[in-house]
Amino acid sequence: MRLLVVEDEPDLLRVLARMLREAGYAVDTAEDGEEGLHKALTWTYDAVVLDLMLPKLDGWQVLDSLRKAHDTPVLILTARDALDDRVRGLDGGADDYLVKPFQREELLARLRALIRRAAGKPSGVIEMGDVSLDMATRTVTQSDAPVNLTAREYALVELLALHRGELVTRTMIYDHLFDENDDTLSNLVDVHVANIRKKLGKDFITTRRGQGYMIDV
Amino acid sequence: MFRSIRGRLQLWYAAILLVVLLSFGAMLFAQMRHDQFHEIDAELLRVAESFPPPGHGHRPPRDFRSNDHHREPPLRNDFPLQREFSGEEKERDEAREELPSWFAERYAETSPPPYFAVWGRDGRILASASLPPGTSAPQVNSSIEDGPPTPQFTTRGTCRELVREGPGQSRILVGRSLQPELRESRHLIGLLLVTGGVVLAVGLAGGWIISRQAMRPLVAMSATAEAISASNLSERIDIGHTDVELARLAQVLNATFARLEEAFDRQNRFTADASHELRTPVSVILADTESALAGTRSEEELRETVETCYRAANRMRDLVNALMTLTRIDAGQTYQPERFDLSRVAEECADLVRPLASQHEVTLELDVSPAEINGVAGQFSQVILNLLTNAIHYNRPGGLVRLAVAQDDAATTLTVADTGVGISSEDQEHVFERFYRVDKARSRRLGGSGLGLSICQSIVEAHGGRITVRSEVGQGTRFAIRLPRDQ
Repeated sequence: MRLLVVEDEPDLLRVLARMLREAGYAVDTAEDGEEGLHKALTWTYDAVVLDLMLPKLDGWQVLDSLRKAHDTPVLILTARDALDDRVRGLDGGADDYLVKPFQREELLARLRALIRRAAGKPSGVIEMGDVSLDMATRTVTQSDAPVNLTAREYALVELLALHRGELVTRTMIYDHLFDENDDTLSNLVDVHVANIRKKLGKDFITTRRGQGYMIDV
Repeated sequence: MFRSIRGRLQLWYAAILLVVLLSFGAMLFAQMRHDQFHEIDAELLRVAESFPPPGHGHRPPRDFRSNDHHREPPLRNDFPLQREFSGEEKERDEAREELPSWFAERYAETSPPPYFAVWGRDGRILASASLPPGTSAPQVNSSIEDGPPTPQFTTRGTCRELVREGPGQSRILVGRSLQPELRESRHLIGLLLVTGGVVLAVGLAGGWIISRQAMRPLVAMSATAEAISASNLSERIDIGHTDVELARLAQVLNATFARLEEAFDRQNRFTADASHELRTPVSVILADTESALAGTRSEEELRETVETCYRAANRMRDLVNALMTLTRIDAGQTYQPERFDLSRVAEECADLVRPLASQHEVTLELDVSPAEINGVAGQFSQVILNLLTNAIHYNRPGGLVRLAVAQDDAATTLTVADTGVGISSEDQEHVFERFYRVDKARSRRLGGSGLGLSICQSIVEAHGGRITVRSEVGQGTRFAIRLPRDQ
């Protein structure tokens, strides 16, 4: 899952990015509203974490422009805790609103919920035959036995699971699994898919040659 | 009741009304009494004058009052009452020695009934009717020498009597009961009491209503004042419908409320801003430590976390210090002022910021001449450091910062001028406001609290001076402090 964090406070931006990366997300960052809007319009993010008090373009302006083109889930993360601000943010198209200082667990849970809702999966657990994926704990079990996946492998399974029965193109995989700093070697995805197949069975992921992958279980 | 204006008003109303009513009633009563007695006396006199009956040569009573003494003898020589004993006239005389029928009849119902008595010169009763027992022969003070006899009126018990001297030194007493008049008086008193009571009640009710009307604006004002609390300071007293007398008070109150609201607003904004400023470093510390505790970070990464937290904590410390400084200055906390040379302080500050200046490739120029002032040296060094670091940070490489201190007879001036980015005219109005940032991004990176210039202003104003800013975008900024001498 790939996130965009727009935050003008350099330390907080760094801390947020690292926290989200450690939670298994691919994270892009932007230090002002203009850069944030540009990135949000260029890439397909699974969610955007947006501060309100931003230089150049403030959070509301970014949200307004973004909503004209995209329905990317947006979580406003701000020190502004007044009721008016929260209402204005949510009415302006934000999907969630969290006030600083925040708890790490709450931010992560809210982001998971946002991504889940955007994928049309209200539950945090996705069952695919004997394979079960729990988004809250980021674990995959097969026949109730835990399967040991790397963070990338888990992210790929999660992406495919959220689009279960749909074709997930290689571009989509690159877009959602790697952030702007990653070297996206074209065979990296194939390596991950091969590893997942080793752990979850050959038929778990179906290959559409030249197009992409899907979970059809 | 006595602590209430309305209660006191009402009490005064009642007292005044009561006094007016009582004096009016007493006057009315006295007048009526007077009239009654006047009438009674006239009546009694008329009755008394019918003794002895006319036709015996004596004159009507009014002639008694004549001053002509020499015409009196015929009267005095007349002894009409002796006719009582002359046989032929007795019947007629006897009829005459009764009370006139109109008088007797009119007061027949009274108790005691009308009475009369005629005493001879020797004190013997010559004639009488219904004379109350125990009535002795009255003394008539008038003597012959004194002139004509004067009828004497007295009130005995519930009776009014008239004594006059008859012919031949006889004495005539006529009296009747005062019952009808007493009844009339009682009636009048009753009427007065009822009327007075009604007038008093109406007056008091009217007074109550009027006082309520009069107090209504006050009540409304106090209600408004009561409704104004810390959470709702925007209410004001409606001056439009207030009477002239109270409008001034209402204006004063409204002005006070406005000042109060402004102070509260400022305080609220300041608190909100301060907490807002604190949220970001707190967020940094919380997020980074939580992540560090949740995951497995390498020693290198943990070191980074600690460094981040350290920076955030430093920022919080700076902010807290700035807030404390402002609060102390705002509270007017006084330091012992000392006499010091401002140019020396300026030089020390310049030495402190020189490394920063060379780091930013900014030249620092000094043009100071000795300037002794009274004040807190530490606070002035804070002001100068603040202005100098701003001038360096918002400058361009190769730029210039010029610090000048001068003194003349009127004032001491300190200026810090730079060749930096400048401040737009609309921002210039706000630079001294707390937490106002011209360039938020740059200020954040520099770790500014947004309070520096506010602190400068507070310190300068606490020393009786003024700080002003003049700036041109792209040309530079010039802060000037002017301290009047002998403040």
